[in-house]
Amino acid sequence: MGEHAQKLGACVLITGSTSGIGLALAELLSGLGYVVAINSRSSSACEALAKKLNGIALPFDVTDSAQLDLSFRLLHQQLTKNSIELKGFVHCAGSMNSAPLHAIKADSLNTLYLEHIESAVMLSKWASRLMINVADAAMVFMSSIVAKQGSEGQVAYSTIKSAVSGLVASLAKEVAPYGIRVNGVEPGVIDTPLIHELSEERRLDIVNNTLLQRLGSPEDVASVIQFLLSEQAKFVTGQMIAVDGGLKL
Amino acid sequence: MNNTHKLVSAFESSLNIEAGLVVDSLEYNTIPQWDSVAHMVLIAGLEKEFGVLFDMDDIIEMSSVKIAKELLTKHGIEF
Repeated sequence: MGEHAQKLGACVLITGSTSGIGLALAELLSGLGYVVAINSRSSSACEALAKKLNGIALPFDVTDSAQLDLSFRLLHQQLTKNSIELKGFVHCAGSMNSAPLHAIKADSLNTLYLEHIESAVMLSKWASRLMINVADAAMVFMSSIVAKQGSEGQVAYSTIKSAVSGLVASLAKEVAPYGIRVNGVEPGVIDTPLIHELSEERRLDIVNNTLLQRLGSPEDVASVIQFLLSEQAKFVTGQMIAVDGGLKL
Repeated sequence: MNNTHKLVSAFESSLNIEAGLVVDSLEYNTIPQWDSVAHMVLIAGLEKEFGVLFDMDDIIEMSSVKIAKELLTKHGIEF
């Protein structure tokens, strides 16, 4: 059986999949034959991409628990109706907030917590339920190079992102008995809308501090996530994988 | 297969126990086979068998065979 045919009947839910790394991943997985469940807060963007990729539109705000519950019920209905299994869950949704320490506001810190951590836990509760008794199921979470290396102006963001490694380590232990693998990736500076606020000078500085002498692309990260979801990574769990081109901040 | 048989079958296969053990008084964590790991397998098994999706709160509340029946009754399953 070819790789394409092997993926028929397998769905991967990707939050934040209408732009950046999530979009690149959705396109990659769709090309491999996965059914992708497309999520963002924009219904129109989700529906347009789901139509293009022949996937499932699942618009909801990951920080809204009522929307999250309803959306997983709708996803469960669609998967059951079409005899599709939830094989993968990738949490790409989330914003980046750069500010020096004195300018960090409690509200913005709380927003980062809701987007990256609380949502990850609540989404994991649902996703793991739908993955029980599914062979070779896997989840992938997004951390960042700043979680380990730190970065000026990113005290809040790096603090939140460092929590992802704790989530991955503990969740991997909890769901291993069900055969579900859990891993994370730590992207370096990737050329996505998240970094459009950076000055040209800062971008050049980053490139000069990267061994491979370029910014990362969304596709660079998507290919690693695809590997972590695949059978090729069937003995990999509880790991954080850096995808940073050798960047030293 | 009637609903009681379906329920017993789901408990039997999910917890890997004899059908005779599946009585109303059987409670969570009173036998080694019904631990926290097996509990989620049981939930998935019941959901698949009866075509329902439990509320998150119901998963915690489902602490006996009797309560499992009551929760399924909320979804229109009769025993």
